[in-house]
Amino acid sequence: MRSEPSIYEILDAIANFLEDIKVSVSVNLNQYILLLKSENPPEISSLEEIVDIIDNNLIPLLEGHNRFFAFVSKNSLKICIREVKLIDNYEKLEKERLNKILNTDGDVKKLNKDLCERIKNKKIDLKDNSLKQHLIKTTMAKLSIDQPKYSGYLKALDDNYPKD
Amino acid sequence: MENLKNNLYPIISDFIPNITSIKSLQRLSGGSSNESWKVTISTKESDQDIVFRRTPDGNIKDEESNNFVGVINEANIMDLAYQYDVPVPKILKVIDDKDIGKGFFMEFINGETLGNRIVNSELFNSTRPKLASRCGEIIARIHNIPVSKLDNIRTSDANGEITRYEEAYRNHGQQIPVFEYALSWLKDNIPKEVPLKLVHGDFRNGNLIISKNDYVSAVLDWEIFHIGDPYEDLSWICVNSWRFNKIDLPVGGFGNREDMYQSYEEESGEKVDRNRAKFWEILGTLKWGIMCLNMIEIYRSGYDNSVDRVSIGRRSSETEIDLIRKLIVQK
Repeated sequence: MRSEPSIYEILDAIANFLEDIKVSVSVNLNQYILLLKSENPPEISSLEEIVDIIDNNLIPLLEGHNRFFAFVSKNSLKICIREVKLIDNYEKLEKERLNKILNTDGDVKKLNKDLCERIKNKKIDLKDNSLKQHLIKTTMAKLSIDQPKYSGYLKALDDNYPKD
Repeated sequence: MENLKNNLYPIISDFIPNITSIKSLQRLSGGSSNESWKVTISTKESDQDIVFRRTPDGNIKDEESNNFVGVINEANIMDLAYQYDVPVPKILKVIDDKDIGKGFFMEFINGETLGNRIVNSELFNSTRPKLASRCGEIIARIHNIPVSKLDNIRTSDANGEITRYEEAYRNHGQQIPVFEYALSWLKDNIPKEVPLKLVHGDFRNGNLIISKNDYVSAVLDWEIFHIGDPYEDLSWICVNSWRFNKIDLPVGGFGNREDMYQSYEEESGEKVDRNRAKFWEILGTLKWGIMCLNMIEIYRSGYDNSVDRVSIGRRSSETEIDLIRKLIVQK
């Protein structure tokens, strides 16, 4: 399931940052700000273009807090790019597993709510192997989008944890 | 800033009478609710650095604000810790001033606080191997401070911590099966009650001043100290997020658990129950995951709309893989 904050919230925060920085840049940032604020699903190529602009045109000009925020924006854009690329397939596999474990149908959000309820109310055994496998695979998928360089994830890859 | 400088001068001259001017003021990072300033003062003889810490203007809307003890209590506990041989900056003066509010002055201690540098810098190559045992000794000294010396301080044991963080998770509203799994496991494995002690509450790499010769020169950020299960401190510093990618060195990314436990045992005379420590590390990991979710709420409230604040929300998944490694795939 998609992590929070949503990519729209992240892109909006990046747009606000680009609006607020008071430096003159050789490119027109307004078109990118509009793009980031759009409610339509973002195109990967446009997001990649903005990563390049931040890298090549912004970071060299900035210092202090703004420079730090520019790095955060770049990394956050990369999270959004990975999510757009990968999430549909991950959610399809996640849904298939949940259908089997819960023996019921619905969208991913509803199925996850159902799973959480069952764990909370002890309607499912924490030692259940298909539950464990599901949690591992879903978490590995999440990390490959959210934090693929995180030490705990790299260790899990080294240890050959099951993944989609 | 000029205003703050002017307001600070007469107050500082109260306890440093030979001050001739305030040379500079520099905002320091660190601290969730209170702000710190490095104040460089000139006297006839030389320049001297001190630190001024105060409650910032405006309201604190941080989700955790009800956990913070207030700046005067923070000064009081540091003063007490100093008496019990815990390395902390010496408190020079506590104030409640009509112009600049509540705050305190303390000595400035040189050293490194950035976790990343502490675990990587060559400067600390010979320091790092001794840090874990030094931490064990210091944590034992903190737990040795009699709770009878404290008035009106929040008590929160394992049960209290689980309840508080579960509430924050439910209020946030995201359905995270791994968190649900961890909550369920934690509730089933709450350790039997132990005598409650004074707990620092945020003892980790990042809140310690490290120096080459003194190892741990000072323990900072006493904002959420409380009375609780002493294992909270022994385990919070081992949560993977404070290891700065040095995953194989569980104590702060610089040392081993056994080194810390042994020195804790020597200093306190009490045996460390390794299973209980593991319980608290799992709880600590979940707590940090829920704190990351809180960051999203702070962003949504409009209090802080920075890209940094909202992005921390995506670090919550880091704790999910750590919980999986600790709870589900055990070696």
